[in-house]
Parts: sequence; structure tokens; C-alpha cells
Amino acid sequence: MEIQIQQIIFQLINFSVVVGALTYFLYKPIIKILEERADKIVKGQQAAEKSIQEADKIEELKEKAIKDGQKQASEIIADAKIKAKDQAIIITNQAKEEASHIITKMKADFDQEKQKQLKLMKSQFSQAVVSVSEKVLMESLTEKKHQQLIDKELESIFKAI
Amino acid sequence: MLTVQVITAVKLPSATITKIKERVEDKYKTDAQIVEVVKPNVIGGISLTIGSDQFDSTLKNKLFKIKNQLDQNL
Repeated sequence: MEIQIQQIIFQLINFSVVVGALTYFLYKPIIKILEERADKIVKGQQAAEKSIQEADKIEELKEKAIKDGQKQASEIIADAKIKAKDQAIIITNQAKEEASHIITKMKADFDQEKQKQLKLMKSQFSQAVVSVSEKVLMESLTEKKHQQLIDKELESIFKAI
Repeated sequence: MLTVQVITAVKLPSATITKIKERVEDKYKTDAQIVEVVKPNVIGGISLTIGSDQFDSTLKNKLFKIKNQLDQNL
């Protein structure tokens, strides 16, 4: 068996053509497809990461909103308690003041009524004394006693003039 | 002429009227005319009104003063 140079060269050329054709028509498109897929995967990963980050951010915002809400609710409750306490003090003080005014007025009315009744009693008493005295004097004064009294009073009057 | 109103509970004897007239004329140095008024409600005593001067010594007036004192001091 002898080596045929022409055949070898032909085979080399043939092989090169096949390799070139394979490279051009198969290898490059596959590489391109693989690169595109890899790129798509990377982009997908990036999108997923971004989505996770956004989800975390939303979760943080939610927790923050809940905490803020709880804080505001606590503040509102505390404020309401303070206001209710203040209101209770104000109402209690007003009630005490009103009670004091009522008591003072009642006492004043009572004192006034007491004074009025006392004055009336005194007046009635003195009137009774005078009426009784008048009656007794009218019944006890005789003509002689009238004259004696008149003479005595006349002396007093003329001494005073 | 000085008018003298005399108020008493009973009618005065004329001697008393004369005595009053003389005493007034002596004190006031002028003639006096006596106007006698009988008011039983004065109870007793006598009240003289000589011109603008009044001297009330009736028992009614004394009792009135006592009543006022009782009203003030009770």
C-alpha cells in the first residue's frame, strides 16, 4: 500500500471544508443560542433578584406601616386617656363648685328666711306687748288717775320748754 | 295770738285748760288760744302743740316708743 499524496491533500482539504462548514453553519449558531440563553438566564436571575428586593422592600414598608399604626394607636389611646382624665377632673371640679354654690345659696336663703321670721316674731311680740299694755291701761285708768297723769306730764312739758 | 292744741283721752276740767293757757302765755310772752281735742285712743296723758312745737306725753306715744325699742333690741 502506497501513500497517495494527492489523496491526503484532498482529504485535508475535504476535512477543512467540513470543519469550516460545521464551524460556520453549526458551531456559531449554537454558541449564539447558548449565549442568548445564558443572557436570558442572567436577565431572569436579575429580574428575580429585583423582585425579591422589591418584595423585601414592600415587606419592610408593611412592617413599618404596622409599627407606625401601632405607635399612632398607642399615642391616640394615651392622649384619649389623658384627655378623659382631665375632663373628669374638670367635671368633678365643676360639680363641686356647683354644689358649693347651691349650699351657699341654700344657707343664704335659710338665713334670710330665719331673719325674716325672727323679725316678724319680734314685731308680733312687741305689738302684742303694746296691745296688752293699752288694754290694761285703758281699763285701769280712772278719771282721777287720768287727771293726776295729765298734771304730772304738764309739769314735765313746761319744765322742758 | 298763739294757738295751742291740747289732745287728751278724756275731757279736761276748765281749771286745767286755764292753767295751760297761763303757763304758755308766761313762757311764750304772748296771748294763747287753746284748742281742746279729745281722742280716747291716746289712752292717757297729754299732747301739746304750741305753734310749731309739739310735746307728746300721751301713753299712746310712750307705748309707741317702747314698741320701737323692743323692735330694735329684741
